[in-house]
Amino acid sequence: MKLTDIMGQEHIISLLTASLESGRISHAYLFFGPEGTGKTTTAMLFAMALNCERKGEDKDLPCGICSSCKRMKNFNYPDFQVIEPSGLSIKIDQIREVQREIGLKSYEGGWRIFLIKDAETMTIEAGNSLLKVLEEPTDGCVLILISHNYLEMLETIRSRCQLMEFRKMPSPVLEELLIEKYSCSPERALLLSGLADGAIGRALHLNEDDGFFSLREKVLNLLSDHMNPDILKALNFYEELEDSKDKDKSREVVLDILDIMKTWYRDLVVYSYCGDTLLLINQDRKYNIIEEAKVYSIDRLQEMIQKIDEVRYGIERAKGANLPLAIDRIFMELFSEKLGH
Amino acid sequence: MYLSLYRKWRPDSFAQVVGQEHVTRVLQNAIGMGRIHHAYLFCGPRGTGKTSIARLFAKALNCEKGPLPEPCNSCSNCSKIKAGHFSDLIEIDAASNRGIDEIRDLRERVRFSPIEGRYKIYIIDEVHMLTAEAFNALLKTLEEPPAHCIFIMATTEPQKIPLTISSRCQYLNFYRISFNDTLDHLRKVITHENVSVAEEGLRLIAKKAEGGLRDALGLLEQAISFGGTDVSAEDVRRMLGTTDDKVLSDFVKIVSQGRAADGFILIKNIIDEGKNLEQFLKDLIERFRDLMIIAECGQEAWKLVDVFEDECEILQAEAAQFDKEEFLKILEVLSESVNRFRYAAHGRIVLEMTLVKLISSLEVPSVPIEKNISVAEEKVSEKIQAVKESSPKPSIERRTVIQKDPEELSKDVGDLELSRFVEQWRSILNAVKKESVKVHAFMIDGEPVSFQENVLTIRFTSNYSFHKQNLEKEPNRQIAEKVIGDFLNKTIKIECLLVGEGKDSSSSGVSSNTASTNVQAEDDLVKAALDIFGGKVVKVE
Repeated sequence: MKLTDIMGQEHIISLLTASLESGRISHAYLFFGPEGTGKTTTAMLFAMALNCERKGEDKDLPCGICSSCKRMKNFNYPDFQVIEPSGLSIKIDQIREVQREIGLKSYEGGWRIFLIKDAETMTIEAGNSLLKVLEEPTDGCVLILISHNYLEMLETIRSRCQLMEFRKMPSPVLEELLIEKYSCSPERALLLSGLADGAIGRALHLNEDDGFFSLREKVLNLLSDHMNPDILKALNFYEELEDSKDKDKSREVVLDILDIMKTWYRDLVVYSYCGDTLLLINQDRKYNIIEEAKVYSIDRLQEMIQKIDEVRYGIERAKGANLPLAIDRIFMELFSEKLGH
Repeated sequence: MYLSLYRKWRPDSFAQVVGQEHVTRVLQNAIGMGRIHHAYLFCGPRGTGKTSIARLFAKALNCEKGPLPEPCNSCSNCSKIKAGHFSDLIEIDAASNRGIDEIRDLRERVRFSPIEGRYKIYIIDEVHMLTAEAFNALLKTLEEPPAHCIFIMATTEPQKIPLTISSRCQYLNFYRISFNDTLDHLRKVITHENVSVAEEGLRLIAKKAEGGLRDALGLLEQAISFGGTDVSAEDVRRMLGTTDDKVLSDFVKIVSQGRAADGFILIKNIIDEGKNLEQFLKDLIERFRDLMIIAECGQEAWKLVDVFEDECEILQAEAAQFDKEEFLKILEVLSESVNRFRYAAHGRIVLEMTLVKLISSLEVPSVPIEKNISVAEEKVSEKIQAVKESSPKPSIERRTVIQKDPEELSKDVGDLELSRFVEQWRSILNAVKKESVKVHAFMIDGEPVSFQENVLTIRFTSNYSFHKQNLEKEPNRQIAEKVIGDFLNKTIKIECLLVGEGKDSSSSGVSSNTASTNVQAEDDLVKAALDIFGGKVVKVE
């Protein structure tokens, strides 16, 4: 894979290839943007391109076949360090280690590259201790920070980096890509791009994730069955999911459920205002939406979306949140109207 | 070796420092007069020159040609400091060396005299990250260091510095660099770097930098990497992801007219162009902030708003669409949404719900849809049912009405009646005319302004004091009172006043008493005035 193979981020790729050509390499980059937009992939390719043996001969970097590229890809390159959160955050000792390493000379004679993943998880102490090296590292060093939540980072860090903003892909481009390269049907491409909100990584992930679609099917069936609301079924729903027992997966599943709910009620709001199915995300459920939209007032729908947001916010904040309780709560909230009848 | 613009353009002399004259002057005068303090604390936002000025100060103090208000930049000390290996300039990263042990170490070494230069200078950067123990261990040294030793501490978060530390230092506050200073500096940099960047592009960069010169130069560098030696405004806009003004205008229009459906389509278009929604939301906040200032500050506003001349008219028209309350509501909703972006996975939905909230908070009647009406009807009928079923409710309500302040109550009623007067004034006048043409002629230039406790107040402008006086005379007043009374089916009294007597339509019953004494006083005044300009009065009579 070459840098130019990255789709939908032309503004970044053209900048990076231009600086590779002209040699205007900055000492610190911050790659930020939503999840699944290609930040880590681009960072890897850029790091490979910086030390690629065919640099200067070839314009389309990295070659991916020279020894340097291969070793980088396998994380066997001595001048290439990846810093990742240990546990939930990046600690000050990890950054101290970076400082020590930055003082050293290059082993292979090329660029020394430090890739800091999930940079927003740096503790305040870690972030502050990065400031000095981030501003003036030893010559020949490049720091690449990656973050999907750059607002959480220190302003002083952001100000020291070249900011590379990864954007979501325009939905027509994403749909075309899905149809051509991943042989999706146009309907499925439309659905995927809507559900992934333009993030290509997410769309590709969903495309192969049958579990997600069956989960979505179950949730939407519960939500759209307004004629005879089944609160018992809803409350048992989460317990009966297989993934809910898997500790690592359960969190993701809950967040998925909340997102599915949110897109659903969003569609109802949009349909209530527009009376048109063109802008809907859940394209395959048009008829359910038209039916359901008759039941709720817009205020009520907004309220529901807010409730979903609240629960989601709570789960993201508290790492030890009680997930089954969260799902039960949200179903109670959503069904409160139906239960009242 | 290629060097980032913001490192390359670090100032070499105080004259090159952008926008911190109040700081450089203090430091230069201190050197000039030989009154050099032993500890300085530099505070200010990122990218305003704290570290740069600290190094400059160190250079000026250690310059071989004697401490100079402006370093010579040619002697060996100056060039060593510039290259960063001068042995008596010790730059400490307090964020990494934040413990008490590091400070103990520092205290021990402070005692040794300088090797090459005149002063031993400690620059302690990011000093807010020192631990409490480390700060306290520093106190004694900081208060009375050896004569050859100078401490310069720099931080972006002065509130984290203990008071015992800051009281031992000279406190220098760095300001954000103004839009115009940033712009001037950017212009200077591009001429030296031999690149051309469109003026509008520079403005966008300067605005985005938000007072940090490092940010501005970083963005400029990025723009140059992006667009080559000839950078257009469009390049900059694409790089920054700034929203086109046209799109912002469209959104404002959609909000003011309550067209949610068009809003959803607009949002879809923004997404399809690959724009960052968070940036769009920020641009919106900026826009509404500008509009609010334009609406509230009149001519002064143009000093507070960074816009191009050709946009003024458009902005003014947009600003007129909203009132103060609405601006506040809009900005509240928008800034709440910015916070939401941090945790919500679907930026699109956040923005869409923001739109819905904006529109519903402004209570603009949205595009009617049958369904909404039927829902509303259902709700109303439900309410009616509920009211019918719960009979004791009305009595409770009545009690609350009685508990209301009687004065306020009568005022409410008075306002109601007054509006009836205003509406029907013409027909009242016609009725008076039928009764007496003379009284009608006196009344026609008056204006009903308040109706309190069956007293109708009619206001005359000062040109019509004659009419007022005559209307107050009997039997004119009786005729008027009788006709109006018949009109309303009750007995009323009329009071007249001249404009400028301090009574307006909103005055309450209490003040109407004082007003009537005012009328008395005014009468005397008028009489006195008439005495002086007697000729005129005679002619009128």
